Amino acid sequence: MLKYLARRIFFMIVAFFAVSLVTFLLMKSVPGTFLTINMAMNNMSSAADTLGISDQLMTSLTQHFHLNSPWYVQYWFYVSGFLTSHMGNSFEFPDIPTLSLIERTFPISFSLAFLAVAVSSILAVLLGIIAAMRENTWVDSSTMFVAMLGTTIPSYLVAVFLMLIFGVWLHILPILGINGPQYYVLPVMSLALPIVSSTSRYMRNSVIESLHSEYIVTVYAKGGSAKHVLFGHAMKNSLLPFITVVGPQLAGLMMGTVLIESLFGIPGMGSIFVNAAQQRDYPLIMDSTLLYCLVILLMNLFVDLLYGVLDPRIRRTGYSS
Amino acid sequence: MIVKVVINLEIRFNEPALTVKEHASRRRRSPLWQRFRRNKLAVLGATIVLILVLLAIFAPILSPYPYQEANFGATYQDPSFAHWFGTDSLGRDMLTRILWGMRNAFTVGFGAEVVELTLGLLLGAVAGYMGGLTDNVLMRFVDIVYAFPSLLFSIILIVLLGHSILTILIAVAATSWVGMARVVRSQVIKIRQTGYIEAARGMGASTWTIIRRQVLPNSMGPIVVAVSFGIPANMTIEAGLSVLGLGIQPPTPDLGELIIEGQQAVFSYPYLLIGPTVIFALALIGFVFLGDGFRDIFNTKSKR
Repeated sequence: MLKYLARRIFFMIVAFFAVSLVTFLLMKSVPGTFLTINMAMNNMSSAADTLGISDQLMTSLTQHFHLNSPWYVQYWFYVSGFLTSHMGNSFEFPDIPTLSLIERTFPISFSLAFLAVAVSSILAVLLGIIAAMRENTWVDSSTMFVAMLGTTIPSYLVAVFLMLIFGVWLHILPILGINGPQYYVLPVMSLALPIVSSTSRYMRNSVIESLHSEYIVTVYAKGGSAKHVLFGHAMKNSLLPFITVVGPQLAGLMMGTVLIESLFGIPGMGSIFVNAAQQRDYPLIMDSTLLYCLVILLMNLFVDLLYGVLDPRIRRTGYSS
Repeated sequence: MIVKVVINLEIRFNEPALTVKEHASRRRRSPLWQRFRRNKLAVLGATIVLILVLLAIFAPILSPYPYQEANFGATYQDPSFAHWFGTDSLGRDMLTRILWGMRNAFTVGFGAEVVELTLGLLLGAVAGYMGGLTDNVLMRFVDIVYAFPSLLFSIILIVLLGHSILTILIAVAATSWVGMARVVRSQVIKIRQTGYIEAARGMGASTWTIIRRQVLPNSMGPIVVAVSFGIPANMTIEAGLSVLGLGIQPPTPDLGELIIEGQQAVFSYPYLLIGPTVIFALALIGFVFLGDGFRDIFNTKSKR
């Protein structure tokens, strides 16, 4: 267990540095710097003001961001800044520390993703169990047909349909911005529904598999009720395959929030990143990519450890594979 | 024992004799095709995909108006016979824009899949067949690419390379090939342990020949399934980049861009939204039905 954990964490560190290095090198090779772009599109952003500054300030800024240093010095400037949470300011928002920018936007993105996971897991487990209990009836087939439709419809299309139905035709939910709990409903639903459709199918199949196994017959023979069978035995054993499917979706979900935020006009990490990428705002690109990468790696680690919690066999024999 | 044989014979004799013609037709049709045809949804999916792909290919001939032609006398027209899906804020015909948008989506969808397939087959087959250190190194590499925040990586690539259809194709393929590599590798590992590979090796076939002639043809099933789910996934990313304003730049129409325009006008002109979204959803659903059909044919339990 400890050995496994150590190996996983070592891999995480390697992956983190690989991602940061590739991002940095790509970012550096993008033609045009922040300052030249702002010169071309004059007054596009608040930071264009920096163009009116004296040469002295310019050189000190260049020095501060290590823009004339060799690439590895610059690279370490960003990464160490991120790791010690002394990120400083970005080009685009010179008067707001990047850390407070992230503090303001990251909770929104993360709560969207987290709520989506929660909602989709509950729905998928429920739908999967209902379909499995009514195996090969119209309930089963219609649930699974809808699930199949949902597997490739991306979250932004679902979002657009939900906006049309609940915002425009029914007028019951707001479709823009984030200003209270009811603003979360549509974004979370549009993130959750595509996942529900793909995962509920796996839940159904694994519940059916457990229901047909021999120990379930034993439970019935000993006088167990259907409720007892389902919640005491079948469900517990079906959750492991379910989590192996939900796990990889988490990373995709973090990416999905980027699109959903831009559709619903939500000021989250996604909109910050897209803006930063278009503006060549190096510090902000690095910090937001590294944050996303860290979240994805931690989520994957959490899921892997969760397997052990749910399946004592994995815990006992070690996480070998 | 004897009774058994007699019964067997009887069963044989009771089978209705095949006419010559029937016999021939049974032989000609492959069982795969028959199984596919029996799956109604798969045939429906194949039909949808085929029609939409043909429409996209012949978009330059079929589209009733040039896509960049603005007509300020006919802005925001409701759907009519002249404009089946209405016109947008500049009076451009929506049907034309949807057809051209689909063309981009399919180009990226199929093109990126070709790139993914090439990379995935090469690395997956080598890793799976060689095993040992080679496998370990290649798969750790794949794991690291897996840890990438894929959309962010694509966005940085596009900012770096520009907004042409080729660069978007590269940006889409750059992160999604790892899934294909994993599918190929697990297939190859399964096949490597079979007897006929041992036999081929015993007869002195080289590694490369075995991979090419035995391993890859036998692992086609899950790969075909992965391809038919990969194409719509690529189309989704392509349109998604466009939703963020990072896709193919106007005036070239793109489904993602049409969806965003429709969403902005959703309160006043909902038809602008309905046209592109329904067509896009239809294309994606077509691919799912097709992929599901393939999964049934090859009887694989591949994870998407």
